[in-house]
Amino acid sequence: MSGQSIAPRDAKIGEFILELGDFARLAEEALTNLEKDPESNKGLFSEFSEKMIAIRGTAQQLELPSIARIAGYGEEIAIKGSSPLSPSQTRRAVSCLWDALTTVKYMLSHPSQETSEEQQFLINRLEKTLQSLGGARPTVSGDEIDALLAAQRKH
Amino acid sequence: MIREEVNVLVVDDVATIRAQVKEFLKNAGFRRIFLAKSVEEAKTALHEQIFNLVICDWHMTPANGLELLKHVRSEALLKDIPFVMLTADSTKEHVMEAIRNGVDGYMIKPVNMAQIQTKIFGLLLDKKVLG
Repeated sequence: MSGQSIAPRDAKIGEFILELGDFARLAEEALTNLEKDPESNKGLFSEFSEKMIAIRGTAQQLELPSIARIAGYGEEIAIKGSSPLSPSQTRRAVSCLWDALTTVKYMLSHPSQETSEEQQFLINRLEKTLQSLGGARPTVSGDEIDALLAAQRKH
Repeated sequence: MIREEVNVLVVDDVATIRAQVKEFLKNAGFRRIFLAKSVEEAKTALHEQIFNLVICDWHMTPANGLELLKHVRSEALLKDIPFVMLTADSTKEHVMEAIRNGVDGYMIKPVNMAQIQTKIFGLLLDKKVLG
């Protein structure tokens, strides 16, 4: 191990907030255009989802679990939005994505307020919406991935 | 080869992640760490010098990490480079897609120093990059 110092976590969070602010702005543009014409702009759900996964991954890496969790719901609801939905389901998805994005943006600028009762209400609402759209995509754990990779190597 | 001689290419569109992975790798003893913020930058780097390991995010635009993996595996001079996906995406569909396309390692964010050491050293020993 080298003796190189680890940058303070707060400094990293500061860099993250500056950088991810741009991602949030791009997500906001996508959502604005989606709201104007959801059917013609369905592809923007994927764009929104890509920005949310970037925010989620970085927030997870920097141990900001509430931001990661809400961005994760945004990512999954946006994925559902890109699939065939009724107009009312699409409107509901877009509305939830606005709530998720607004909260993520707020939390990015107030990282010390990682948890609150309001956020829990939002998380409950996002969870219900996601379930009503069919639930999150199946995921695998790190151990399962290692097993899959080992099986692949045997072939 | 010893770890100080291993050329590592880290590809991620988020500077915070690039910097943190570089720091983990440096602390693990790697010295030749190159950073790319897009698949295009990574492709240029891969054709300009020899790399012994690629650590790549999946979700980037306009091209993503899977596209870089496919590119690496399709090029005669690059196809044997150990390739690790480092991503927040643990959906089964995407993990399987990466495996089908020849990924050597798949790490889910968040990762810590110990995981980087264990996985990367294990892979490089397995691939006989490290002796």
